[in-house]
Amino acid sequence: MPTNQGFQDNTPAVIMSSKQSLPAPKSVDTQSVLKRLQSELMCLMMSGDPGISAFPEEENIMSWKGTILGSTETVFEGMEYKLSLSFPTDYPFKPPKVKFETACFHPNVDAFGNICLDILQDQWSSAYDVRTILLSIQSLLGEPNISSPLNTQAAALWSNQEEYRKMVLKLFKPAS
Amino acid sequence: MASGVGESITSSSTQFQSSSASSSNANNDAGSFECNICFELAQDPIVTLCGHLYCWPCLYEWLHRHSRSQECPVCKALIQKDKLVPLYGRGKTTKDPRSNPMPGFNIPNRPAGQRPETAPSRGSNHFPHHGFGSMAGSFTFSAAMSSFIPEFFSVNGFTNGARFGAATNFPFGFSNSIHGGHAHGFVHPPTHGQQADSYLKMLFLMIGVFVILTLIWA
Ligand SMILES: [Zn+2]
Ligand SMILES: [Zn+2]
Repeated sequence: MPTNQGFQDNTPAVIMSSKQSLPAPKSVDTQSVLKRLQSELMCLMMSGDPGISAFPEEENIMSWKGTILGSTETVFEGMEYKLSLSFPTDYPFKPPKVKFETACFHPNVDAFGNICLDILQDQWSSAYDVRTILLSIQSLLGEPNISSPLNTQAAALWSNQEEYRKMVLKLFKPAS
Repeated sequence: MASGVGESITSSSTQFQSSSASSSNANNDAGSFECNICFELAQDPIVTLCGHLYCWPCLYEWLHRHSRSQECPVCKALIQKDKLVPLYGRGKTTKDPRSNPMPGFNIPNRPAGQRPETAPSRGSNHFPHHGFGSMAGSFTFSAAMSSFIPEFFSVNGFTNGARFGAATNFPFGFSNSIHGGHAHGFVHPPTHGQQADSYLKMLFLMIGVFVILTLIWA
């Protein structure tokens, strides 16, 4: 078939040039991570979701800083929390490590800022992104999972929302 | 509770992705054809039964290295490998080594399409029983076309491989020749950005033309 032949004639040049430009396997892997993180950044900046934001740290796109604003009509209303997100080289197949940088008095956040959220552990899916992670954490603030708390004191106090709000205000230290 | 939150959020983010313009492509529809794992235009596209689009290498890596259960990253539906449907656009059947995100990791060939029996042909039997799915299929179909209406095409231009491989404008020329009644319907090759998108459009156009022709010649 002449037509088919013609098509195949065109391809070897492409294959060769791309092979020559291919660096070591490891950095190709990183390249696809970078590409995905760049498109996530574009997406985040264009979406303009109220109450969440994130941006890579200087000179390292594998490590981001994010902020979450406590939702209205929750005990976290008006509080701004800073988080760090650090992406593994096999992102998005593995979830990023996400931690609160600002102390957060919450049943599912421990004293070091570690978060217990299923989508950041065994329920992770490579279709999730920074935006869905931050929105999920924002929802988690208002709807904690009381049955398996990291912070038992917070879990015990949750039923008394008025006292809880006082505690949140008292323990809140804005990050410098 | 938290997983429920995650799912509802995911669906809204999917909507967002499909409504927002892709960075590399000014076309607003491009997001509909982005892989749900790498967020790029899908390479070796494959669709799950639940309808979610991925690059084959991306989905393979997810299923074989990272997913604990074989589930769709978007909707968590169970994925059966023999129920995956590859998408065959026009002129892109050769494997592109760049589409493999993990060169050290051997990804098998994309599952082939399953093709139901051809509908029993009534009357004339002009069309060979080959699928549209492959390069060979499209070519046979094109060849059949040209034998019907040779006056619309110069044979040279048609069998010119470079033209076919670079940017096949045949469907446009063809539809022009049907509706406009003249043979010089070749449009300029699309720019690089539009090209990938136009492969998909061409697929639909081809199917449309095929249906019209079947009606005419049946
Ligand atoms: Zn992909
Ligand atoms: Zn799905």
